[in-house]
Amino acid sequence: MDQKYIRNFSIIAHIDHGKSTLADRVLLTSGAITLREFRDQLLDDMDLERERGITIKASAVTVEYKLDGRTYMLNMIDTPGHVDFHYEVSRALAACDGALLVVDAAQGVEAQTVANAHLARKSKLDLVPVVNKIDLPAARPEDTAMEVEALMHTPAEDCIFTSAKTGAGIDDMMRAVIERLPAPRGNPDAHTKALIFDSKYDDYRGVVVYIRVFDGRVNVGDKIRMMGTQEVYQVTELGKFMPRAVQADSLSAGEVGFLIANIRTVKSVHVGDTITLFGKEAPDPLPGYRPPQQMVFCDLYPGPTTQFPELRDALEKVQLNDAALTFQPINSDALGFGFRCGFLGMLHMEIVQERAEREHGVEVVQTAPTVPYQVLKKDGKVIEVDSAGDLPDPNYVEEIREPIVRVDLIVPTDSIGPVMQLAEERRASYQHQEHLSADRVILTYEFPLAEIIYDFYDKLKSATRGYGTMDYEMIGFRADSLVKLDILVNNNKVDALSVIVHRDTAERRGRRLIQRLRKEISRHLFEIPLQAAIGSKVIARETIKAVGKNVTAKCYGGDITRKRKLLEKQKEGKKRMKMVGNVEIPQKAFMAVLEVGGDEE
Amino acid sequence: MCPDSCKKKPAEVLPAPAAAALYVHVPFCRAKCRYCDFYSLVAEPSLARRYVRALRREWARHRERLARPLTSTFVGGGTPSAIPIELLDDLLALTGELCDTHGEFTVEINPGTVDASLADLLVRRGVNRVSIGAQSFDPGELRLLGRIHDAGQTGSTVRLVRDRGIENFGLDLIYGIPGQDVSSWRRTLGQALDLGIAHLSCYALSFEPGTPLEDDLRAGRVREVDESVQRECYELAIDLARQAGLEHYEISNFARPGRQCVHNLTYWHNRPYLGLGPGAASYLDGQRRTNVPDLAAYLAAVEAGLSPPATDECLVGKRHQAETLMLELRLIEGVDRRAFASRFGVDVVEAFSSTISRYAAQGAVVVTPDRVRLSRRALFVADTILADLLAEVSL
Ligand SMILES: Nc1nc2c(ncn2[C@@H]2O[C@H](COP(=O)(O)OP(=O)(O)OP(=O)(O)O)[C@@H](O)[C@H]2O)c(=O)[nH]1
Ligand code: SF4
Ligand SMILES: [Mg+2]
Repeated sequence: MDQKYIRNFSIIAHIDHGKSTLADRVLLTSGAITLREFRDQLLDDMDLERERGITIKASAVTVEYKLDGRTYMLNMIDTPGHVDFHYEVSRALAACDGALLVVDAAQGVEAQTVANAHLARKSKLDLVPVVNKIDLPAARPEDTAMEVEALMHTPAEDCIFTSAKTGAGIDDMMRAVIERLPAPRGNPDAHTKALIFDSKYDDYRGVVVYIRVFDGRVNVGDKIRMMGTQEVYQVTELGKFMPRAVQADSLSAGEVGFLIANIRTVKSVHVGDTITLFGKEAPDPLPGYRPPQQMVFCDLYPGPTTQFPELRDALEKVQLNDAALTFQPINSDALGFGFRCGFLGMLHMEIVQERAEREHGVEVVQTAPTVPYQVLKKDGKVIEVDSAGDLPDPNYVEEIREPIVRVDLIVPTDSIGPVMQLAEERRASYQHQEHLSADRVILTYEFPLAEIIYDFYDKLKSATRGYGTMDYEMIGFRADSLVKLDILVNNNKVDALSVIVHRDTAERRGRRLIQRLRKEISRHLFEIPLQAAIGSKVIARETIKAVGKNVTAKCYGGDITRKRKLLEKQKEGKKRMKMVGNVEIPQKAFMAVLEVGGDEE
Repeated sequence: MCPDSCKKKPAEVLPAPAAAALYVHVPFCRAKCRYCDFYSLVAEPSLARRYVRALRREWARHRERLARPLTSTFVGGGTPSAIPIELLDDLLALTGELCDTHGEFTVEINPGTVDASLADLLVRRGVNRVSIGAQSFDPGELRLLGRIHDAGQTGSTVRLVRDRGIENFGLDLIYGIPGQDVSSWRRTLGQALDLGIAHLSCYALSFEPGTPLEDDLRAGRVREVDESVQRECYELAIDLARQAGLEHYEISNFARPGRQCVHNLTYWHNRPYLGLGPGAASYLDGQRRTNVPDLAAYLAAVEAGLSPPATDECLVGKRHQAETLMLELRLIEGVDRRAFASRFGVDVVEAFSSTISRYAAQGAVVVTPDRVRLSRRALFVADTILADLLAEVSL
């Protein structure tokens, strides 16, 4: 097809502003699906996506759309809004020539709106702003358009007003896609260059690679080379998702589609790599993109130690469709064999754990997530440490550096006070502020990542009556006065409970932590001392009393079932346990280290 | 219903010798005690009549499942002695008429419901063991529990049955009653043992949800007795019962040699039995069945010729083993390893190695070449260990 009639675009927005629902509308209005096939957020086809009502993975579809008597081919990528999946957005944008920036008319511009707009601008993409959800009673379409103007320095009149719910404005939006977003400008006769922007594993077809052809073309039967890995494959199938897979003989410059070539594992496909033709290689690859950066790490252990192989299988299977997950085997003194896993953020971590358990039936015990640290040793070497337990002996440590993120907070002007106070408590350094409108402002800070990873978002919400939103981006590592806090359970140091904390808050954290542990670890037949220590200095202690009485004295007649159930109930909710020495530590205890906030008792 | 797995593999459900123990539940009481959550209603003669009739029908349907001779029959409740005497007569005749011999034939009696004619009836119907719900000898404690009798009636009940030649009688006592201290418990134990009892059960009071006493607890009108005091009471019972010649044979039970409760031993050895009446449980052919505790539903079903409504389950494999352990470890002598191995084909210590070795290292479980048992100091925290044994299976 002539590139003039092709448009490649992404839909980007803050979480929940209606990207997937707008994508549904595009499918419906183009006739790609019938009203009967229509269901909400059709492209969110993972169970978890449907349950949580969010997009986790970007999805690309192709639709044909008629405008003024001409048929256009529109390649659309619906992206996730959650900050953890920012990386998916950048991937999607690299495959496009333009994007729809969607803004909820009731919420206005929010943190990921800004972040995604920046991202699109950095990728030099044209943007069409879409103010969505105008049907809502609380919608403020004009104000929202003004905010968009302030953000993008484009006139408010350029906004398209839609309701993905009622269908209002969808035709205007389609027209804008065609008239205001550029057509691809590749050279169909040049050496073939196609960007791999996604891949997934399909039980029947093996690895399915999503590509955007920039120059030249690929045909079924062609031998191709991945320019990064240098691997060579033969193309067995090409096609487009419309949204059902529709086969094609070739894909040429400007087109988006899928490619299948007997590739066994997703690992051999590097998203961001360039595909060219074997024998007729392009001289240099497309820019590609940085690999995803894992922001949090935690250890996953099988509940029962015997399930270690099952856990490995489960993680491998999850990784087939989730290139951002990393894992490697580890052996903890306290917990035995498990995996150190890296994630894009807390939501990503939760999702991986849930998938491992649900889709692959393993019981997982998880340690508290930590951010990665860099340690400058006395010998001048710098090492990466992604678990407090791995920190070298303090005698060898020159300094500990922690990851720093640049955080944009969009908050109502009248809550600047509480937000600034919150930032101060979290060791943030103020950068600047910018007014988005008369009553909303963007505050920019640098935070230690560790301070925002867990409960910061909730705190921000309560400091702003629910209106505040945030986005963050890694900017580097910085040394601070950090120490390792060790926890001793029954006089044994439990490496999986160690945390790296700032010296100024270490004592409070230590006390608070063992108070929590005292609640989470159930009473045993013996007394269990708990201690928090920095180096050899114990900074807090607690004791878990021994069980005094736990016996069903009376006979329930012959109702043994009832008796058994009562006993089983004692273990309920403590299912995921790990034995450390003679002490059973439940899953919840490992997560106790996250409870930084809250008052001491 | 039985899960499919057990239908497909009937062999796993075995061994299941025919039941030789019978339990009959009498779901009536004179008045409801304040701590009680057993299924019983305050007696109403017309219902009791229908109930005994229904029982006859349920019994007729199931009696073939019992091996002869019966090793034990246990008529409990509720309060069997709370129904009109002629109905109790019918009920006791019922079990007798269909069996050659009762083996141990126990009736539970409440000291507030006993007179000479009741005692005569028991003897006439061949009852050879009586379990008396004394609970306490302290008037204040009996009041707090909402019992309908006083300590004196317990003494006269003992005399009535003993005078008629029933030597095998036992008392139930409760400790951990709000306000009770060790010395009051010592007096109660002393008075009980002075009666020359053959059997003693000592239960710690538990506050069951929905009972008036639990309401009192929650409203702060009564306080739970301190754990350490309860432990002291328990230890005292063990010591005094031994001194009086009663052997400690189960967590809460003591008996003169040869006077252990044969019926309850059936439960603790996880052997089959048949239970009749609403709320009664049966264990037949590897299947547990508990009749729904609802007299009206029971009557309606049985009078219509149907089985009474019930819930059931069928444990196989390791869950069956764990359940057996849960029961046998309540016995002071513990589990006979050889018997366990011949029943399940595995050594109990190997099958439950992680929990057993852990608690053995803590001195809570004693493992010998022949037996596995709880140590004395573990008895009072037995459920912690039993819960871990059960949890080992669900993993
Ligand atoms: N009233 C109204 N609700 C809408 C409209 N568009 C979307 N919604 C609702 O907003 C919620 C979020 O919509 P989604 O389409 O899942 O939003 P999203 O931007 O894809 O969200 P993420 O993928 O999680 O970032 C859903 O409950 C939609 O039904 C609209 O125009 N009007
Ligand atoms: S007599 Fe027994 S069954 Fe009846 S209410 Fe009292 S404790 Fe419960
Ligand atoms: Mg979505």
